[in-house]
Amino acid sequence: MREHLLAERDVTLLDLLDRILDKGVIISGDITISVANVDLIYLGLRLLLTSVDNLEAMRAGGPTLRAASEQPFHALPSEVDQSSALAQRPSSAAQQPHRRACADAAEARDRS
Amino acid sequence: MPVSARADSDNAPQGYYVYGITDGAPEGLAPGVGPGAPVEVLVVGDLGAIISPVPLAAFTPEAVRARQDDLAWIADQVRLHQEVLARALPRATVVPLRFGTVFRDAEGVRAMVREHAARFREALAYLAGRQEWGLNISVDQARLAEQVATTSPRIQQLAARQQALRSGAAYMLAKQRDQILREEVDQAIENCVRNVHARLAAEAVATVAGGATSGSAASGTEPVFKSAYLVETRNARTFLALLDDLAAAQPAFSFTVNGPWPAYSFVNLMLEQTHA
Repeated sequence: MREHLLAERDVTLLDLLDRILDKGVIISGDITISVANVDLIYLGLRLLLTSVDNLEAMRAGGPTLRAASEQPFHALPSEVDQSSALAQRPSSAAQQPHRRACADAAEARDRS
Repeated sequence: MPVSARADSDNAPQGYYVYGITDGAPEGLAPGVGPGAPVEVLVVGDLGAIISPVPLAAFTPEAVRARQDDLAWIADQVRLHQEVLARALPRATVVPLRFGTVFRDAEGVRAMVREHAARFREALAYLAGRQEWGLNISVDQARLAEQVATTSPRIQQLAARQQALRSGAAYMLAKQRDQILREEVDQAIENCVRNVHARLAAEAVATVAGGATSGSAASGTEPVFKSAYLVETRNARTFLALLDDLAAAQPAFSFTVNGPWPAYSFVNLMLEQTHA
């Protein structure tokens, strides 16, 4: 896993939206067109995503949602239908590289 | 930028979508992204604007508002915005602009870059050789409670006393134990988050902590923390290895790391455009 550290990390649509719709340099002024409206979209969208997400989680209560972990960060699919976009969630605990069981911090540090 | 209305927009007025500002002229920015809308670098002195043509009609306030419930469309645009910047990232330093920044013409883009050149240079110098990494921490409450129950001296003591008591008193003690357990679980979450963030912050140039956490948790867990770290690219492996170690020491918590991102979270600039 350590060889692929820079390429294989989880990213969800929500993570993407959080960064891209809410961050970055803002240019304001007459010659820009749509920047001011983006926050509007973002708010509505985030609400939608969050509520559907929670609903799914409650209903599923388990690992039925598709894992996004195997997806290389730089190769996100450009075709996204609504259902698959909403299903992009981190992998279940068992699949997560960071959920390695046991091992105390000192021991883990010694290894590296 | 992606252009869904491409086929019938050949004669429609074109504007320029600006993804970010760079200090070089990165090549091969985004092959295959937005066919018909090639991504290019508009050179303005020592700076470059990463742009692609878009039909202006797609980005009027009305058009954007009409799309605001169209999740698939938004998701596509956002991914493409990210993809263009991500491809530029290994080749140049990039200051990302907010999603949806569209200019009427190339001259408008040039004027913007010229007017804010000093700020862009400053931001580029700050971001050079650095990457943004994101972290989400969520907790498996049941597992953490179990862990706390077996390790907390207070809980252990109560459990021992409880066994020696008759049912009525034992019941009261059990309630007290539950209350203490809840407090200690909350404390354990706070300790974990504080410790992890402090350790990571020590390896980072800058951090942003907090913000909405919902929706990013692995199933069966509850999001408790979200943060971003600006890290020297040459230290990225060390940073991630540290994260692995911290995560391994916290089996009741789930750590989700993402990146490297363009430094979205570390450019808090609002630039007023005074003239075109």
